Amino acid sequence: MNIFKLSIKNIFNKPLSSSISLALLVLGVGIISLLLQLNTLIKDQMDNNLRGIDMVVGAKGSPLQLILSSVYHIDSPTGNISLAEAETISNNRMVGSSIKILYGDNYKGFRIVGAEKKFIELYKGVIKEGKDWDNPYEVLVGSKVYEKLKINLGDELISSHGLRETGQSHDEGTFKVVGLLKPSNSVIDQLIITSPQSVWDIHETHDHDEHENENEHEHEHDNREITAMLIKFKSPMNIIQFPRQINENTNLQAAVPSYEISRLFKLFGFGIETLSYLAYLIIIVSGFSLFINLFNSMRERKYEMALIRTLGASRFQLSTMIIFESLVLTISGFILGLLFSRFGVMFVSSLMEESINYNLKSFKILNEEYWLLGLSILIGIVSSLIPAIQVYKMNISKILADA
Amino acid sequence: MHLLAGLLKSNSGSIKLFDKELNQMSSYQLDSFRKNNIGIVFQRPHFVNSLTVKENLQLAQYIANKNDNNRIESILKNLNIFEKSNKKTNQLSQGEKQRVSIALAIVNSPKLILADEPTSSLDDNNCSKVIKLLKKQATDFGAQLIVITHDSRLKKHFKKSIEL
Repeated sequence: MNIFKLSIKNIFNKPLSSSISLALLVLGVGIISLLLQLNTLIKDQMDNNLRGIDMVVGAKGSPLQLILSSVYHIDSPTGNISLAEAETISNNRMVGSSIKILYGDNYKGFRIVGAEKKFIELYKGVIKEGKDWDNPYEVLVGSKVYEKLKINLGDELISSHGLRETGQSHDEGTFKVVGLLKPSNSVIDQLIITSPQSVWDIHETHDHDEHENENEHEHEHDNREITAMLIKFKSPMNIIQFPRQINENTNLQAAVPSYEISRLFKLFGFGIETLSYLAYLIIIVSGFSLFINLFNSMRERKYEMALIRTLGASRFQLSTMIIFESLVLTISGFILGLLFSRFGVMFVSSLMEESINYNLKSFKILNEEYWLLGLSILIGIVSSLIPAIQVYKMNISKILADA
Repeated sequence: MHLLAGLLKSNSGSIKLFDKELNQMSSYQLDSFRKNNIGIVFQRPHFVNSLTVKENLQLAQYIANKNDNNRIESILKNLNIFEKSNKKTNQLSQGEKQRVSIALAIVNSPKLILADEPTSSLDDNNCSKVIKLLKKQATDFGAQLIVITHDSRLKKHFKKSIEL
């Protein structure tokens, strides 16, 4: 038996009143930590997919939508642009490198992207099994796609039109899996990648079928379209001037991902801020509840305290016991709060994986969370200070005489 | 009695106990003096409610920097409440509580046992049991016993008495 053991026994002796303060603290710490974790994870994920892309060129529309669709592959594209126009831009002297990408089809909800081979290099994709595509209709499959759909090398995938599962299926659109990619923790994990030619071919025959009755057979190479082009500049200076030039002088749209993403973060950053103020408020309320809790239990336990003093315990030992009781609660509240947030992250990431094929998993403790630990300890000490001082100043003789 | 136990300091005069001047001690020294020399039995028994009988006694030992489960066992057996060792103190009967409080007072082998109205809420039968127990414990462990009481039933048990 010692003072610390006694503190813990005291907490468990009144589980109900202790658990309210604990629950509040867990909630407060949990929400803040969850917000921090999600914010960091999403930012990391976003930045990870952003590297090497200074500008995206696509059809006119919302710039954010253009970025979301062609960099993160989570929104519908704004439309198509003509290959010829895209070529003009990629030949501009300010452009360092450019990657053309095309959409059109999906396989069971996973997008099939027609792209130049540079696209895979951009995300540092490495082939785990099989080989690169050589011919049209040969595809490389990202790690999450083959894990989820149990696709093996040599399988044939029948695609459907559009970006969602419900699209009309092409009987002709049969792709052959020639390679599987290693997990790269970037967007290519959830893509099926093929040559641009495959996508052109499949839609030419497709359009051909549709227009057969009208006798329209004019699909020349010049009419070929792409969905977007990812561009890296020769010099970072061009990021200011070049997008504006395109937006003003052509009927294409140029969007800067880093700018659009920071705009997006500002938009939901407001919500995060409000929510975290609320969570801090909850933590403060938990501190009050802890204080009231301790204060009341001091009253109930005054004879107990007096007894411990008559047994020879010093004032200091008793005060330590009170503070320790409070700290045990706040520190376990902090730990439970972190657990809560980790389950929250797992839950959100499983939700996100369902809807947009994103996967966020990380269990590292953020710097801000150490601050949160500091805050929990502070709350523990502050809320137990008055009860501890009361116990310190307690007049044992008077209490015992009242009995 | 509180003065004697070092729970209260006197405003004037001096209190000398075991060659120590209590009035000149600091609060901390008094605590330490108390845990080494004095056991107190209260009129109404007090315990740490979150602990069992045995844990209460262990706490008392811990405070006095002792740790001796054999002694706890022998005291509880001696007082005939050994089978209640693992019961919470609020599950005990009044008589059992009084005995546990005696156990608490003597667990650290004090030189002086102070009993404050130990029998006032007890019937004749229990009264004589408790006082006999106190005297027996005092003799068994070589302690001096001071009982403060207005209970005339106790008169016959003691040779020395100071009436105020």
